[in-house]
Formats: sequence, C-alpha cells, structure tokens
Amino acid sequence: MAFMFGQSVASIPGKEDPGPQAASHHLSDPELVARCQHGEREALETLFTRAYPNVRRILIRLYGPGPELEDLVQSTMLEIHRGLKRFRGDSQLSSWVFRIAMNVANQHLRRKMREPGRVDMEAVDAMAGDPDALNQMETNERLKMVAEILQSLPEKKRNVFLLAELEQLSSEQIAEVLGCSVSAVWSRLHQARKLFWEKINRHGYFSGEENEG
Amino acid sequence: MPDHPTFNDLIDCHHRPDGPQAARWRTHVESCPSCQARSARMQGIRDLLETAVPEAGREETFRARARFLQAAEETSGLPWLNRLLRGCLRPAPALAAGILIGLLIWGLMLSPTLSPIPDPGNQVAQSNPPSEPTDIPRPLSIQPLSFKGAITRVNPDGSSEVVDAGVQLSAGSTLKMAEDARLTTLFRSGVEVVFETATVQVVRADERDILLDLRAGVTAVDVAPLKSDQSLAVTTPTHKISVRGTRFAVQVTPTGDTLVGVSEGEVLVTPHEPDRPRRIVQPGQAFRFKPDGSTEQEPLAEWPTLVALLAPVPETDYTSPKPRHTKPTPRVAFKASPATENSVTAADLLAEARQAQSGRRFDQALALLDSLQRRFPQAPEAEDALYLSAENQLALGRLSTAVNTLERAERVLTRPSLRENALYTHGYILQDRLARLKQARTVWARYLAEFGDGTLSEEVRFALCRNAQQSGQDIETLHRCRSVADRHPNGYQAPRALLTAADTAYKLERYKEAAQLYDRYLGTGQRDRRNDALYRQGKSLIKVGQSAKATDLFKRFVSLYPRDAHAAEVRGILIGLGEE
Repeated sequence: MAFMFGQSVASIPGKEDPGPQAASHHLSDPELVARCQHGEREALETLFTRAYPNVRRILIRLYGPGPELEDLVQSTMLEIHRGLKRFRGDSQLSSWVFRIAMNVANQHLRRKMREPGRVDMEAVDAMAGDPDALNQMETNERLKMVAEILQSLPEKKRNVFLLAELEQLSSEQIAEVLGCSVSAVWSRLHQARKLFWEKINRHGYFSGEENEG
Repeated sequence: MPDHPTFNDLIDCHHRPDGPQAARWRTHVESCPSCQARSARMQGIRDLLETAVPEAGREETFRARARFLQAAEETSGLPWLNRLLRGCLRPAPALAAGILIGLLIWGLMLSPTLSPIPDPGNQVAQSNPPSEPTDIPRPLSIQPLSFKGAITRVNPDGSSEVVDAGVQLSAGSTLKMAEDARLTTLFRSGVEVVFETATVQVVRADERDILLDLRAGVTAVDVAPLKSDQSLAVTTPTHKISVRGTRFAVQVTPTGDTLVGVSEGEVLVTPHEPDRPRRIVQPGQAFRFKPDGSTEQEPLAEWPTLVALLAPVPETDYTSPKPRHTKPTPRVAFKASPATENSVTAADLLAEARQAQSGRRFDQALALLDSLQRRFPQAPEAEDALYLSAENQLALGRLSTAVNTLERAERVLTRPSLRENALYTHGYILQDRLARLKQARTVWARYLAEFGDGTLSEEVRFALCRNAQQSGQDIETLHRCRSVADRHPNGYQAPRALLTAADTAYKLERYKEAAQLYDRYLGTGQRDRRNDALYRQGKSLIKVGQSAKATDLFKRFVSLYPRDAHAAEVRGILIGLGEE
C-alpha cells in the first residue's frame, strides 16, 4: 500500500503537517530525495519539515518527554541525512524514515540502563500556579509511564505495537517499515497487545494492589 | 461459558470491536459494573496512547533544523575528502595507504628513470603552468539568533516566507520588517548584525565579502577585525559604508538621509555619486548624509535608535531580576568601544553568559563566552568560559565539539573545581552520549588519579561500574559496584550499585554473595525492583541451603506481590518446602 511521505502525519486525527512555505513543498518523495542528494538546501529544509514531526513523535512515544529526547531526535535526523545517499527509492520515504527512527531508538534502548525516574523539581516550581503547565506535566508523566512499559516489551513486538497502536499505520505499511511479512505483523501485534496489557495489569493499574504499604 | 470475560477477552474486545469476542461480551460488559469499570480503565490507557504528544518548542525545532542543515553544509563541501579522511582513520585502510605511500617513495628514490635530475635550463619550460585559483569563497549561512515582531523574507524568485525559528537566510534574501521588529543574525564568519524595522537585502555573503543593501530602517554591525582579503559594506540609496573591523550602525530615514554612527574602529562612507567627497567616520562620531550631497555632523546621543544599538548595557542590568529579553540591546552591546572598555568586564560577560545559559539561550551564551575568551584571555573568568562553552555545546547537542573543548580544557585549566567538572563532563559525554566506552574509561581513570575523593568521585565510580556492565564484563561490574557501595555507603548511587552488584552476582551464580548483596539492597529501603530483589534473594538462599530463611522471604514476597509474574512459582516452592 503506497502512502505519501507527510501524509502519514495529516492522516492521524489532530496532527497537522506544518509544511514549509518553500517551493519544494509540493515535490513528490522521489523528486525531493533526488534534490536532497544533490545538496539543494531548500529541498533539505522541506525534508526536515516533513520528517522531523514523525521522528520526534515516535521517539517521544518510546522515551517520553525528557532531556535525552532532543539529542535522540537530532541524532535520528542526522542519520537520515547520512543515509540519504544510500536511499534508492526501494521503499516509501516515510517507511524509510520510520525505520531509521526505530533503529536509532532500539540501538539506544539496548545501550541504556534502566534508571529510576526523577521528578524535575525545578520544573515543578517553575510551573506552580500555571494550570496548563501542570496539566502538561501530568500528561508528560503518564506518557513516561507508558514509555517505560513500551521499553520493556521485546524489540520486535514493541516495534509493531508502536507503529500500529500509536502511529496507526496499516499492517502493510508496518510490514514495509520493518521488512517483514504481513502475517508476521499480525502475529507480533497480537502478542504485543497481550504483553502490553499484562504489564499494565502487573503495574496494578486495574487492581490498585501490589503496593508494599 | 464463564460469568465474566477474561482479561484476554477484554483485550480482544478493545482492539477488535467488530470481532467475535466483542459481539459475545458486549451486552455483558454494558450491564456488569465490575467489567464496565475494567473496560473504562482500559479505554483510559488507550486514550492516553492516542493523546497527541507535546509539540516541540520553537527553540527545540530551531536547534534540530540548524544541526540538520549544518550537517548538510559540512558534507556538501568536499565529500570525497571526507570519505578519504574517514577511511584513513580506520586502521586497515590507514595501514594499506601507509604501505602504498612508502613503496611509492622508495621507488622514486631508487629508480633514476622515475626521478630524472632536472636540467636547470629546462626547469621553466617543464614547470606546470600556473593553475587557476581554486579557493572560491563558499557562501555563508546566516543564522538568526533572536527576533521579535513580524519579519518577512523575500526570496530571489519572488516567493516570501515569515522568518521563524530555523529559517535560514542567505545571499539574495530581502528582509522586510514591521514596525518595532528586530532581528539579530550571526553570519558564519562571526559577524553579528542587528536589523531593526529595516528593509534590507543581503546582496553578498561569502567568506570574503559581505554586502548589505539597506533601503530603510536601521542596521547595526559588530565585526571583529577582518583579514586583508575580506570586506564588509553596507549600501544605502545614496552611500556605501565600508568597514574593516568595527562596530557601527546605519539608518536610512524616511526622508532618504543616511545616518552613520560609529562606536569602535572607523568606517569609510563613499557616496554613490562619483564626484562627491568621501568621509571617514571616527569612533564616537555621527554624520547625516543627505541625498543632495550635503553632510552634517551631529551628536551621536541625539539618535536614540543608533545609541540603543551601540551603547553598552548599563551595569545595573547585570544584577537586574528582569528577564533577559527586556534589555534594550542584544550581544552587540558588549563589544565595548575604547571609551567604554572599562565598563564591561570579564565578570560581566561571564554573568551574562550564565544568565543566558540558565535561560536555555545556549547559542547566545556561547557567543558571550567566546567573546570573553577573545577579549580577556588572561582573566580568571576565561577558564570558566572555556568550561561553560563545553556545557553549552553539550546542551546544543554538539557532542564532538564539546569533546574537543573539554580536551582543550583539560590541557589548560588550572582551577581544580573546573578541571574536575571538565573531566566528569568529558567522561559523561563519551560514555552516556557517544557510547565510547573505552575512551570514557580512560577519562574516568584520569579523574580518579587526579581527584580520588573529589565531589564527583561517587558518580565516577558508578559510571565505571555501568561502563563495565555495558561492556559485558561481569566480574569487573561486580567488583566496581561493590566498590561504590563500600566506599560510599550513604551515597546517592549506593542502592543502585548494590542492586547491580547483586544482579551480576546472581547471574554469575555466586549465590551466597548475591543473597548478601540483595539483603543489603533491601536494607536501604529503596522500592525500585524490590519484588525482584526479594525473589532472587530467596532463590539464592535456597541454592546455598538456607531454606528456613528463604521460606520467610518467600512468604513475605507472596503477601506483598501476589500478582507478580513469579508469584505462582514461589507458591510452588513454598508448597515444596511444606509451607502451603
């Protein structure tokens, strides 16, 4: 199933593709890549504008908001730039970008040791008295909880779960991003969903139990 | 058919609302309060998954875009050279290249046919013709440092876009600024230019030549001394203002007058009409050049717009609690003229840089720190500036640059506290950001050799522990984590070190040691992975034959974590031990 790069953002409810005002904005993916490969600055800016929200969104889902997120997003964008010359158009540009984001994320997760979460008290102080900011912080904390559970899923299951449940990609799109068969996607997705909810359950979310008191 | 759907049934219902399970249980879930509550909680998590993630801030996007485009610019110059250099840094290609070059030199030295002795009379004829100059100046990128108000960039092709975070300017761009709009830009060569309510075109911007065409509004320029082959000029409808290392401002008034005020250095003002005289404007002077060719000298102080851009920030502003953006001038103000040289000190610059850093204006902080190091290289604050530069580079994600800065810092810093911070930050970047574990170990070793019991020694020792763990060295991990816990028993990292050591001992099947370490960890009162610690301690005790103690632990485990993944196994063990 073909899907144009940039459309994946707009296709998700509530997510707008900001899009540059540049002349290269309306280029198709192959044209854009060709221009980027020739180092055309405007095309690179367009590529950045199209890829950045997707990359950031997928990484924020996996890591939650935090200080390392920005560095990871930038590293992924640099990987995309480095890989441009190798991109032959065998897959959709969006799939290729997602694949790079997943690879960077997985590589980082493998390296990363689990560290206890810390509350940024300075941020709390700064937000005191600002209900919007506090709400945002609560959302951030909940996103972090989900991110922790996602991080604990096995890599292949996690990738499928992330693309299906969070990015709302179809099984064909996921198969293209991950380079596996559609049936493998369905199988992994089924197992990933089960595992995810089991972990949520083990967290005491449904029972409120298992606290040491 | 059971009374209530199982947990798996509910999962199916949620993920496949049109599936057979959903149809089977829909009526039940709607009527059963207990199942309804579970279903609602499940929906809560699904809603969270579908929540839009917080959007990136303007500055965050700006930094990412700048880094992305910078990478593109760096690789666009000589890609083949980059590839060659990268190849040469790898051992095998480097060795092969070395052997090849060696053989070539050896062959040239031995073989007379390859290196004939030149005939002096023939030398000129044989010499190669002079080659064309290849050092074509590269175009400069122009980075907006800060801006306020509505600013539009008009491109050479007639298209226009709003100047926002990350929008790059380049030669050919024309800026149109609304009333009270201001834009501070940094050219890649280090020239800083402030535009205020201006209509201005960047005519040329390369490594040798910067030419700005100001049609209305104000432009203030802060430029370090230029090299002999460099030039910078601002043209107005009637004049051309040429500089060679100075700080000045130009304004085109609505009546077409060109006002030039100079704070430092000199500028040469040349009328476009060839028969009219040129004039040099000295520091502290201000001139009004009228379209009819007449010139009037006026007190600089009477032109508030120019004065605001040229004057140093009053000293009181440094301690003012007001936010930075309320100050009247950006960085340009710190380039003091000889007359005001004493009013801006290294301490002022450092304070301002710290303020910029704490306000997450890292680019600005870097510019200030750079200015401090250039202007006050011998001041004690220059050492602070060097270290803080690395911190800001790190904050901007420029990891390699930060590493280079820190390597330099380690060579030149004399103050122990700064040296300690530099070593620690260096090790942190190498290990946690770049995953260069071996290099990080070397830095940690240097730290411990110099600051064995320094304030960061616990962090460093725990970093070494993590380093060993990430390198897959289990024995080393165990040894180092024990060392952290023993040396810093009340430290922040002690519980984590104990848990890591215990896990490693368990993995190495050193059960007696593992049981002791888990016991110590549980004694710290930490809650993180307490269930795992209890479970593994019990298993370790069984392995070393201490069944009674293990039974007590397992009972505690089952009562505290009845739904844990290991709970069923533990119950089985207890039954085996005759307890349940």
